Amino acid sequence: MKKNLTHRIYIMYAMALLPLLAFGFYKNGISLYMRDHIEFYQMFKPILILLIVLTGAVLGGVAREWFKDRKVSKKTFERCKRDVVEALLIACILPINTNLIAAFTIPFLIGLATNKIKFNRIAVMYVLIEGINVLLKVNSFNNIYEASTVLNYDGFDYFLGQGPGGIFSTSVLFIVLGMIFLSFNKLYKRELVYSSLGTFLILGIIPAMIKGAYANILPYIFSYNILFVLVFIAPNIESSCYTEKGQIASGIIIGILTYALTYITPYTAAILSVLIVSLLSGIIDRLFIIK
Amino acid sequence: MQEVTIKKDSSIKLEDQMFEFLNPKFIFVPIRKGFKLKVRDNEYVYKNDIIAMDSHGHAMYSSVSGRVLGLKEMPFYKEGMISSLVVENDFKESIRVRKSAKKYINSYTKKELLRVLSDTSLQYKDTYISEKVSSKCKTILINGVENEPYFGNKSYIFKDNLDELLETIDLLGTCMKASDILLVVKNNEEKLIGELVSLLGTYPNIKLKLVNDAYPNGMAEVLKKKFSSDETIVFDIVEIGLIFETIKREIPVTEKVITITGDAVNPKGVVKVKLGVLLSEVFVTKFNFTEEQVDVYMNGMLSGNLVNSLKVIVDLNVDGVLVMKHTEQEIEKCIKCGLCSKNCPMGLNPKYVYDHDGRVKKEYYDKCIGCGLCNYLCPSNIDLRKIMNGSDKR
Repeated sequence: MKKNLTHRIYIMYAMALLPLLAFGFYKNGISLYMRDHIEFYQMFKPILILLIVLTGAVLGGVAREWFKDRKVSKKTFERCKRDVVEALLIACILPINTNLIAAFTIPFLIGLATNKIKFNRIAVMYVLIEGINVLLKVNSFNNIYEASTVLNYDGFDYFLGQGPGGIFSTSVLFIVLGMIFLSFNKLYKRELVYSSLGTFLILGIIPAMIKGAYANILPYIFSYNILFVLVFIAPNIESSCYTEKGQIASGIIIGILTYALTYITPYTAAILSVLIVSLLSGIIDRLFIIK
Repeated sequence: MQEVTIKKDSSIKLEDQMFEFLNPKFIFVPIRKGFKLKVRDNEYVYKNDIIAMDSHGHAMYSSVSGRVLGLKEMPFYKEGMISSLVVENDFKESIRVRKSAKKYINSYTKKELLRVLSDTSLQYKDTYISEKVSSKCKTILINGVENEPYFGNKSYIFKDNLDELLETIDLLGTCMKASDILLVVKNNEEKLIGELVSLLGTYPNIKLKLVNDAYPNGMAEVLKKKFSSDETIVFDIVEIGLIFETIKREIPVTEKVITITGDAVNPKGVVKVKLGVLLSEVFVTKFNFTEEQVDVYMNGMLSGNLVNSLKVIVDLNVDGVLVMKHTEQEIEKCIKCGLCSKNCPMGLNPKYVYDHDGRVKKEYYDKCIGCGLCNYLCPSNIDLRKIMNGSDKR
């Protein structure tokens, strides 16, 4: 009779990500091979990165549960459902050139210490992996084709997912469909998503319209993982606000911060905003709790 | 006001006919604190005889005739173990004196009504009805909404005595000088609504109000919040049925209607039982478990509790039993989904109480109506209602 179980939201998340995963494989694998930019086996690099991140996260989760119970059973793997979804999400926003050792190690370590981290773990993982990528100078989001040519995309191309971004996070069409799909689940914090998206879009569109720079609006909105992060990562169940007003308030703050940070570090603007607001979620919730 | 539509298992349907189990081998009369025994061991008692009485004149009655066997500690749903007097049924239903009652209910004056109610010590859910009726109010709200999703006590009560119930409600309105009488039923009970509409012409004071078939619309506090002000007294339709039974013959209530249903019991239905009967005896005689492992929820899954045993005495606090196939439910840590606070009908925040390990102001707890919606919605299976009721942490 009970309808709301934690695994349902994780399954729905995984289902919402499937079209994005397929498109990312096409964009960063199949299409590159078809254009003769890569060898056949290199076509599977996006899948390889995904599997490496997944393996790291699941092994970290299993190790964490083993330390707790000193045994591995079916339940151990059931308890790793969150690690799997978080691994899928982090794999989506990583650059195609990401360092594979970091892609394994960081999810493993975060999975191991997951209960100690109260803020957004996906954001933490991303910041750490991206930090290593920057140090190793492998932080480019462009695949071989994108790096070798001057891109001249219009807004519709960006909408379909041709723009720069993470491995599996560029298709705006599938992000929007995913958001609609997830909105049917009671556990999806839609108030936070709508308020953050609304704030970011308003802040982005109005100045562009005032300046008359209409051409820049769509690439600005559709690039750099921003939509993906606001739709899939910002409403992370455990680290975002849980009160209705808290969700709206934190969504607005995320929107403002994302807009502001795009001027400094566009690729990480959204994820940094989510991380900062997740640190403050407890305080924001407390403001709206009737004591 | 938050309400949640509960998705019901369509295979769980109650039988059309009401079952009866009115011949238990024994009945158990609780002898609560302050009550003194009025009978001795081995004494013969008639049905409706006074078994015990307190200093205020409130009495406990025997629901069968038979021999008194003595005192025994017996389990009750709300109060736990209580020393109870065991009466062995002789199946004769012998009555000492047959009182004459009024032919027409509406000819009762307030004084007469109060006398009958206090003479019979009629109570419902720990409140003496005479005390309720003696108070004045602006509005009387009649709760005809079944609270628990699979229960059907109220439907059967309506089905059997609709005209008499309306007559009793009208009498209460007159005696309590209420300016408004609101009768609330679910908006999907078309047949009942049709019958009520045709009958309510005779009772202009009674107004029909409809609510969605959603939870917790059957809780008195929720209906009060929805339809009326502070100067409102809520009567349950079951309570009205009890008042009618009492004033019709001027005898105490000795029977109770309960629902026995669920996906692991057969048959499923509403059953009329003697007050004081052992629930397990009702089960053994009339019902069968269809599964080896079952979860038994006393008073339903939402506002009731999971219990280990059916060895419980039926009193006015027992509304029914839901027997479901056993499911393993692992309690996980809170995932901060916020469903509990978003859907609390009283606007409370169970997560806040959970975070503070129950150490919050007493006023906060007092607002909790114990509907159990937070428990039902919690995906982590945390018993939030228990935390909200944790009086030791106040």
